[in-house]
This record gives sequence, C-alpha cells and structure tokens, in this order.
Amino acid sequence: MFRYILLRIALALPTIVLVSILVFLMLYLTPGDPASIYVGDRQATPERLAQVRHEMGLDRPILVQYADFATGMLRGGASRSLQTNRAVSDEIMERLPSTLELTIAAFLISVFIGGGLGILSALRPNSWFDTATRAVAMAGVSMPVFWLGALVIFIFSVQLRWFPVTGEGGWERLVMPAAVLGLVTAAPLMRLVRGSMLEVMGMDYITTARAKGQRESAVVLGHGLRNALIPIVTVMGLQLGALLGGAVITEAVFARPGIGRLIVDSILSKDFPVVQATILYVAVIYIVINLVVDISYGFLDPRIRLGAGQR
Amino acid sequence: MQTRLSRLGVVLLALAVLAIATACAQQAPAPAPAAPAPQQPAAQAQPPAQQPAQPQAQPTAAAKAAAAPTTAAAAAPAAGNKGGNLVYGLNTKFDTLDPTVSTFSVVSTIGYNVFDPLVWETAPGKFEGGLLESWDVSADGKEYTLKLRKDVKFHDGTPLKADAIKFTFDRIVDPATKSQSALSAIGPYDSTTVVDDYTAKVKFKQAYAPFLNSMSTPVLSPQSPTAVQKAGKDYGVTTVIGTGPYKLKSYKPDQEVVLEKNPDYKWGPKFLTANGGPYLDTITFRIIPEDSTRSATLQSGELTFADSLPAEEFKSLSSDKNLQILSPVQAGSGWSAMLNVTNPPLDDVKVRQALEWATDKQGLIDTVFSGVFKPACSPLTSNMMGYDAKTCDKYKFDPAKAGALLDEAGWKLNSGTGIREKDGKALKLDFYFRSDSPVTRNMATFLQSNWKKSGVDVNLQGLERAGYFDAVRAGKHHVQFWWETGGDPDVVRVLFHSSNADGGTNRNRYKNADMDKLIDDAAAQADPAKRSAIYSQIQDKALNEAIMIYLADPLTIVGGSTKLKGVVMDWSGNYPFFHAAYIEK
Repeated sequence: MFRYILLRIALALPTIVLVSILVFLMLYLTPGDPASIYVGDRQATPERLAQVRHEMGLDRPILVQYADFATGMLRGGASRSLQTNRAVSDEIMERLPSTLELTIAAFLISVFIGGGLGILSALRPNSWFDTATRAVAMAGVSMPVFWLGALVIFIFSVQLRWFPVTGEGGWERLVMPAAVLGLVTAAPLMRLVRGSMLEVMGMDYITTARAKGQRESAVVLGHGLRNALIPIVTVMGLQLGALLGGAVITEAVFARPGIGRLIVDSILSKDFPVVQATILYVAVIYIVINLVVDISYGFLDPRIRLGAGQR
Repeated sequence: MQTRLSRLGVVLLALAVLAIATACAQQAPAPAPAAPAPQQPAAQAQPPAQQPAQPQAQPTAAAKAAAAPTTAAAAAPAAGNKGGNLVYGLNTKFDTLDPTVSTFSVVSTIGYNVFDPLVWETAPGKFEGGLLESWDVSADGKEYTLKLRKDVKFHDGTPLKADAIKFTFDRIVDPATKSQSALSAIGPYDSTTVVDDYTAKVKFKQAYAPFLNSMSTPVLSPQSPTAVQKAGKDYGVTTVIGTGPYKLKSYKPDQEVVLEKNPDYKWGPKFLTANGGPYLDTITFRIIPEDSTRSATLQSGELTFADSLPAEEFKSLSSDKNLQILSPVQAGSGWSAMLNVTNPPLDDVKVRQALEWATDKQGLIDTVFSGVFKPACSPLTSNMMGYDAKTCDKYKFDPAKAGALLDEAGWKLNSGTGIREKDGKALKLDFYFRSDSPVTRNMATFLQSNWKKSGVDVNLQGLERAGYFDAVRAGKHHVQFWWETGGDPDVVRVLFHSSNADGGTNRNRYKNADMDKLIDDAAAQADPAKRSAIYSQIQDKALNEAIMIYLADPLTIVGGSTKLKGVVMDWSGNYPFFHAAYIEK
C-alpha cells in the first residue's frame, strides 16, 4: 500500500512537469502579447511597447523564460505577476481560504442532498417522492448558476435582507454562494446515486441479505450503498477537484475572491507566471484527488487490492 | 411591506413555473455560461479633475432634489456627531494601489482619499491650490515653478518637501516603474530641479498646458520618497503613503481596501473642507465586478455607495426610496466608432460621411443604454472645456442622405442582396470589438443592422482581449470602438495625432500635418479662451473629414444611501470626494 502511494507520487511528478511545459507552450502559441494587453488602450509607441516587453522579461529566449519560471516554482512561487508585480504564491494563497471554504461547504451540501435524495429516490422508484426528486434534479442541472445566484440575491438579500450579498468572512456570507453551488452540483450527483443504487438493489446478493433477515438499513447501507459507491466516489472526486479549481461564475456573482477568477483573469490578460502557477495548482489537486479516490477503491471493494500484485 | 411581499410572490410564482417547465423538458446539460470577464476601464490618458457637482449632477427625480447628494456647503449637524464607516462598491479589481504606476482609473477614485493632488480643478479649466501654494508658468509654456505648502506631512510622518516632487516625477518616467496613466499625464516631461525645500522647477520638452489638469489628479501626487525606497517592489501592494484625508489600513487584492481617517489632515481645499473633516472613521472599498451584484448589494443596504451602476437599472435604482442616484456626464471622449481611414473603402471621405448620416445614435442609446445616455456630437463630451455645440448641426440620422453620398462615391445598391457594390465588390466592413465586453458587443450588433439599411454589410469580429489588441494595433479593422475619460481637451491627441497613428491609440490611423499642428498649438496655449478656439477648429476638421463617429456621451451613474451626507462629485463626473462626508446616525 505504502509502496503503491509512493509509486503514484513518483509518477505524478513527470505529469506535473509535462503539464507546465504544455501550458507554457500554449500561452506562446496563442495570439496576444502580454505587454500589449498591459498597455491596453493607452498611448504607446512601438518603442514603449518594446520597453514594457523588456521589463516583463518577454524578450528573452523561450527556454530561459521557462527555466526562470521553473526555478521560481521550486522556490515556492517566487515569480511575480506581470500585471500586479506580486509574488504568484501570494496571489494564490490569498484566494485559497475563500476557495476552500466555499468548496467544503458546497461539497457537503452536495453530498448530503445529492446522496440522501438519491438513495431515498432509488428505494421507492416511480413513487411520487421519486418523481418529485427527479424533477428537482432536472431543474438543478438545467439552471445556470449565474441565474440562480441572481435570483437568490434578489430574494434573500434585496427583498428579505437575511444575508449580505458579497464577500467572504463569517458564515452569513457563505450561506448563499455555498447553497447555490451545492444545489447545482447536488443535482447530477443525485441522478447518479439513484441510478447506481437502483441497479445494485436489484442484485441477487441484496435478496440474499434480506433473506438472511438483516435489518433494512443494514441491507441498504451495508450491502447496497457500499457496492454502489465506486462510480459515485469517482464522480465526487471529480466534482471536488472542479470545486477546488475555483467556481468562476459563483465567485463572480457573489464577488468572492477565489482561485477560479484568478485563473480566468490571468489567462485573459496572458499573465504567464500566474497562469502557470494556477494551472499547476489545479493539476496537483487533480492528481492528489485521483490518488485518494483510487486508494478508497481498496477500502470500498477488497477485490481491488492495491499494490498486492506489485504492479 | 405589501409591495415587497407581492414582488416576492411574483418571484416565487416565476420559480414554480420554471421548475415545472424544466421538469417537463428533456434532460439538458447544465449550460456553461462564459466567465464574466472583468472590465478593463478604457484608457484614461488625461485623468480628470474635480469640483462640486451641483451644475452637472442631475437628481433623478424632482422629489429627490432634497435628498440629492449634499455638497460641502450643506447644512451640517453639530460636529462630533459625525462619523461612520462607509462601504464603497468598486466595479473592478486593479493592478496596484500606487496611482503613479497604475493603469486603472479606480485607483484614482481610491487615490483622491489617500493622496492630495498638487492643484484642484474646480471647474473646466479653472484651478486652485492643492498641495501647491502657488505656481508659475514661463512665457514659453515649457517651465513650471511649483511652490509647496509648508504644513503638509505624509502619513509616515515625514514632512512634504520639493524633493518628493522630483522623486515622484523622475520615478514616473523611469521605464523600470512601468508607469501607465501617470506617464501619459506627465506628457513631454524633461526634468525637475529642486530650488529650495519648498520650490521645484519642472521642465518640459515642449510647451504643455495640460500639465495643470494632470496635476489635479492623484496620478501625479507626490509619493513619500522614504516610503517608496523602504517598500521597494511592495510599494503599492502592501503599502502606499500619501498626504490625504484617509490613510491605508489594509488591502486584500481583488477583494477590499480599507482606509482610516488621517487625524492630522488640515490642508484640505476650501471647496471640500469648509465645514471641517475628514469625519468618516473608515472607508472600505469592496471590489464587486458584476454590475447586477453591485447594484443589488447597494439596494440591500450592505453598501453605502457604489459607482458604475448599469444604465439598464437606472430607473429601478432611481425609484428606490433609500437611495440617492446621481448621473453626471462623464467628461472625456464618449463612446465612439473609430474608422480606419487607411483601409479601403473607408479611405474615401464620402463613404465615411455616409456612415455618419446612416448612424441612428438615439436608436443605439435606446437599445444598448436603456435610453439613459446622451447622443454625442463631438470628440469632446458636452461638459468639456473647448466643446463646441455647433458640432451637433453637422450630421443627423438621415439614411436618404447616406444613400445619396454612397451613390456619389460609386457604391450602387444591388437590390438582390441589399448590399451596395462597386466594380463587382460588395461594401463590406470588418468591425472589431471586445467579445468579453457586453456593451461593445451590443453596440456592434446594433450598428450592423443599422448600417445594413443603408446597404453596408458589417462583418462582426468579436475577439477576447489578447486577439483584439493584436488585430487593431496592426490595423486589420475598418471600425472599432473608443471611449475615454479625462478632464483635459488634449484627449484629442489620443484620437487624431499622427504620433499615435501607427499601432497606437489613434486607430483611425489618421495622419494630417495640419491636425497635428492644431493639437500641438492647443496644448501649448495657456490662455483658456484661445485654447478653446483651437479646439473648435479641431472638432470642425475632424467632423468634416468624418474621421470617427461619435455615438453616446456616457453618464456616470453613482448611488448612495440617503443617510450618506457631504459627498461632492467632481465636475468631470468621474470621482466622488469624501473629504467632509459622514453617515447620519
């Protein structure tokens, strides 16, 4: 097991390097000059543009620029943003608490609502409860986040004045964005849980468990859910990764300073060091989550025994 | 309460209908809307100046006149009772808090609280002392002698002396600073000499009349040399040190800036601090880029003040009893369409003139700006010094006239396609705009259908930031938009001067020696009346040659709680001043 984890981490390193090279090259191959974007609609002669380019270090050979970035990363994100001149590590670390807070809250809501309703729905297929839940889930997957966000702001902030609209700090500022994001992510999860549970509950071993006289709760959770969990955990892992990578639209609607907006802004302004660092951050998150999901398979299903075969 | 409940009822009903509708619908993947891109403010070459807003500020309804923003002269309750914590909704994040480096005008909005300008512009072309006690301009207009007040201290305790002016100006022109707005504002700067502790001589390479207007903004405000040297690269990020009524308490990038009262502040200008101040304990600038979120946050009472409110919400915000909404004309050059005069068929003046006649400005304003903005006539907005009202007689919306001019130019209507043709070639224009800006997208779409009625085929080219700047700098466009805020009429340099024509801001790519001379003469002319006369000539020439189409003069829509008193808007409609503001308990 331990060996397996070490091996996976070792394999992750080349992936990360590859990602960083790919992102670096992509930024160069797409049109748009960061200096020209920085100067924008301002009076600037070609000489002035060249000067800004020089100050940004963009006139150096591409390999030198990559090496510069790589050493910056190894020194803990010491490279500075082209736009704000701040260390990229500061840019990320400042937004991380906001993103973590929103991710955890939204993820919990998603798991409780999506998982809970999905199981209940699967136990009584085609009942009125099942139909109602599916309708809500359908509404959830169809509703754009920005629309739901605007609606929630209008009702609970402008009309009822229960919650502040924007920013972070304090649970009352977290409620609305977390609820909106949680509900939107809960909907697809619920459909998946329902489908997966329906399939498992029709299996022979469920009938066997019932025949043994086990309590229904033990049948559902111990035999049913545990077997249904593998696809669910996989999707939950992907959702968690997506949330940690920043929920751009939710962040924008509720004016939260999160990782998502940082990524989008930096890509649009071609702020190379920040794009590099944030994409790397997202890559690391996905690699870690995938690892955790893979390891969890072993616990959920002892037939998948990690490392046993010295793969 | 009843109306609130009934509005809620409508919303809940709508929600129920929607839920049923979606439940009945086929399974659809959740739409993934494009990320709302932050707006980068249009360039601000000559940032504006300031003055009480009474003449320009138009209260939105007669009933509101009483509640409309108080000026410094408004009746004030007993001192000592004034204070409060103001929360201000800003529309964009920005690069640095240092106004002498930044490219964003919101940094000047914050900057007027942290810094004092060297002079104040109290009306277009009218100046009084700020940090300067007095100033002199040499006869040739190339040398300014600046005399500082002797009682001013920076927030870090160091007294303000002439070396700070030299340090600040030299730092702005140093390429390593990557200065943006300030570099434009300082113009043909040559050098500064410190004459004595409180006197500095500033030399320019050419006569430079706009310098007074430039000095009236925070972008040329003196920075504390000791503080800048101490903070190094972190100046503007973790700290800024000014002399203004409020000082920086904390800054979380992309989130909020908190200022606190500067108790030592005694050098405020009379027109802002006749009744004392500063009173506010803190000012918190919260960054809320989404327009609708910002106005909702204002309506919820969470914000005390917000700027750049969306035109489409002007009416609903104005009817909110808890709010006072102001909408002064934003000085500078309004929304316009630049015509690339080097790109055929726009090299033909008749075709350009035809487009002027073909453009339905009021229709555009009604469609895109909810009818709130004003039709524009000139490269200068109507409140600028030098604006010539005769420009409004030049072109009207008249498709017949447009058609006649195009016929004259040889572009005959092909009744089959509805598009005009000449020598077998269709009249087709490439219209470049920023696809991440809904306003430019909406305007471009409107003009496409508007011009089509005159037989002009518009090919819309919406690009995101990077691709857009590459394309228009290279001159691939026929048409692209412009919008500029600024208080000095030298903004015409940005639009028409040949020095900006090759990939610079003059994306009309218009080069004309007579025009250059007029612009340079105007910038060198210190006498406001003579200067205005030259700007009339410039406007006349620009309109005759149909270099660009002036679409709409924007209004700055700002709003605040009715409890907020003592806010003064500058004459240019760009900046609110909180020197004597307080929140009524």
